[in-house]
Amino acid sequence: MSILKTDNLTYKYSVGTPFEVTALDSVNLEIEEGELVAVIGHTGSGKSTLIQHFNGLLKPTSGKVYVDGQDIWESKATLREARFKVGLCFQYPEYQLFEETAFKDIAFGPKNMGLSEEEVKERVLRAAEFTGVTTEMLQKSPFDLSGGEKRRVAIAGVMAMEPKILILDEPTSGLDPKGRDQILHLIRNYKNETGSTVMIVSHSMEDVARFATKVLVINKAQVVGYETPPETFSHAEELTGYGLDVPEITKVFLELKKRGLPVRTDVYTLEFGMNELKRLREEGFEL
Amino acid sequence: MDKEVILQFKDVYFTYDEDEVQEKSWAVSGVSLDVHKGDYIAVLGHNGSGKSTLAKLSNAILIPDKGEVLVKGIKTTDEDKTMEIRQHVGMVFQNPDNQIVATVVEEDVAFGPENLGLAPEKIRKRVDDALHAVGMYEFRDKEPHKLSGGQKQRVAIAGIIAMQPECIVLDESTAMLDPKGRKEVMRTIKSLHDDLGMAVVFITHNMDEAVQADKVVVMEKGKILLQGTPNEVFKNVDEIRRVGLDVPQSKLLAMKLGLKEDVLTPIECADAIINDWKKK
Amino acid sequence: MSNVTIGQFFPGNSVIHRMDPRMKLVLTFIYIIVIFVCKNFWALGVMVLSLLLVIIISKIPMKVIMKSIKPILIIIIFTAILNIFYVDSGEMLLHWKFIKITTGGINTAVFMIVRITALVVASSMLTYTTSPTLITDGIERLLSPLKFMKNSVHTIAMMMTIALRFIPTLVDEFDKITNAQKARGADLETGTLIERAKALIPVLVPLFITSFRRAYELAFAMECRCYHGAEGRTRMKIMKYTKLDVFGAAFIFITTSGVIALNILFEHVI
Repeated sequence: MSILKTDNLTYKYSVGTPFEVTALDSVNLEIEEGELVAVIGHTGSGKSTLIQHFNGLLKPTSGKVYVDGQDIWESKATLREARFKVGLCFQYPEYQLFEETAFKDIAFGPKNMGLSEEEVKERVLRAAEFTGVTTEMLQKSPFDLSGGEKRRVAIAGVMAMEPKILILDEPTSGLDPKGRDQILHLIRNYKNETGSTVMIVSHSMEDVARFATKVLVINKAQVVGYETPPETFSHAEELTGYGLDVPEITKVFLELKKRGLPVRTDVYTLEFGMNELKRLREEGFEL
Repeated sequence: MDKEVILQFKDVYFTYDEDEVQEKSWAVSGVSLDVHKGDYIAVLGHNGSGKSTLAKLSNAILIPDKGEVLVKGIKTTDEDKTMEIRQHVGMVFQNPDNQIVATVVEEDVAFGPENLGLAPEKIRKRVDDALHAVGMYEFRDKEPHKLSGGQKQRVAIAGIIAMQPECIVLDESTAMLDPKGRKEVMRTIKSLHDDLGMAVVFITHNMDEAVQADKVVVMEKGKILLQGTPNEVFKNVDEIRRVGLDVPQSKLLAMKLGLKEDVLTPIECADAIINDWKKK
Repeated sequence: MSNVTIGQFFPGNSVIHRMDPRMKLVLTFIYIIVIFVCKNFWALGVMVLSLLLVIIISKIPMKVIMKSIKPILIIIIFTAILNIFYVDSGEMLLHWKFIKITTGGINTAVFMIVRITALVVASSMLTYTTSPTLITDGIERLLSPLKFMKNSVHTIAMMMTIALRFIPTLVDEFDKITNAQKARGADLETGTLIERAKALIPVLVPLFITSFRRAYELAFAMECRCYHGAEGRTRMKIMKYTKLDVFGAAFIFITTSGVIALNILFEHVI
């Protein structure tokens, strides 16, 4: 059974006014447990609106959202359950820190779930370990930490709720390459060790290519693709049409094809690219 | 090649530590760099490498502890000339929201020239020219908060060029933008350099944006680690990765294939592979 | 949420919209004073008529005008009731135990209702037809001849401009943080007043912190653009009085003369 499902999900802003905008248009999707899904789409495509439906922050104008087979809008109780089953970490989450210590801040979510004190503590420590937040950092005020550290504390705050689905909206924005890699690796480790489903909204096709198991492509309020990275990047031209980028290596291979070299164009990593060129050499292709 | 030097760092040291400690942790440590008229320099470095401090030293927001910074020959320590310095070296910051002052686009662009005490007709002309230069003229009577990130940042750039500086320093001005906004801003910067002949110092941690510059300076621990043309700099793959930065994938592929040509972009990479193929 | 419009500015291109904001400020001020000078219904009638004329010329829909009265409806009703019961003059209409209602009381009550309504509508007309930025600018320029307070006037005007500029940004920010804390299970909607106030802490603390950061960065950015207060600062937009403003002033002058004449000619209500 799928962990997350939408059924003709439609969402409109400012209904009944001249400014009515359809942000999501009959979206049907089904996400299996344990995937690491990258959500891509240009600004204004509706991806932020979509992820806010998964934990019930937004209510569909029509259609249904199912988490773990349960219609989340059935009752108040199911909605509250969805809030905790689906952890949502917004862009620049460090700007949401507010507690006196990093520990207390990470504990905010689990406490709201009504867990016992020991359980909260356990969860905070577990989340801190996943995110590389040290015991020393836990005792500090979150505002005394560096930018990258704050980001990790904020992510830990959502992880500590131990949601079945963890959704992160551009978790690496504003970070330098090293900080970006750190965050992406910790998210992958978290997924591998807990077996939970993870969704990442990303603008970096390089990151999508390296980390995702599935890519959800959104364009003009609709889902236009849900495939593996190689399958997704094999439609490079479509992606460009949606105003999206493709990984740089894919661009190189698209150019090679244009110049008459019969290469595959779903190449999206360096290793893949080297192998593809080697294969062509061995076949003895000549220009 | 004897172009006028606009901005000059002479063995500059700066620390945020205020205590009189022996072993100071220098945010900028012994940097010397000349920016000539019409230069396009990218300063690359990870967070905390001292690159933003360097930016703030360039127009007297910060004053060096040792060494000196000269703007068109004026020392930034000369407090009477701070205004003149800031007019020559304009600065654009990271967050577009936090540098727009007025509630209407054109009034914001006018803010700098108004502070310079120019005559109203002159301000009008500069504002219109600046808005045309960044392609935001049609938005002149809009409210800034209704614009996209990229558009806001272009308004911020217009606000700087309306002061007609000779050098514009952009401190991670694309970091908070989406890919579309980034492209808009990068295109704008390129046209400031190509069409208006402005010297550009572009601070970033993104190598894709650095390749557009004529010269790349890599900072690490407050010092200049590498400098040269993008091609010369990005050849040092191991060194660049060691300091937490990336090398363009096209460059990496070309190097792994052992290609001799200068490669920075996918197109150059594809050309190099084809040429190499034909040879063999 | 990024569509928030500040104040109640109702964009348009009418004669009233195009008048110089300084003139509008001054004339509104005079109008409000004259409203208080009115002593009888004749005089007040002239004021109401002139206000209606301005509303028609400005093309602001009546529905919008009504909206400006809504918030002070309670005050109007309260004042009316107070006058009905406390003013004891003219014919007695009703006397029951301690309650006395007289024609004088009713007259005064009606008079007060009309007076307060005209007052509120007049000041709303200023904000409907003038953008907040222009009002701020107008005040700054009106007061700028007062040399001794030039700097403080400029500072206050600058602060108002920045506030106007950042209100939508902060409203957006408030929304974002609220959503983020809700996603962490914060309950902002239920509970007693105190509980709800407490629940706002996780939203307000980050909001304050970001506001301080924004202020700090904005100060840097302003310094980089050579900002150094009012001294030696010029403005791009010059405000010029035009024929329109002369007409406006003449209109208010005539109305005022009328009010004074009618005050003398007819018996006073209050």
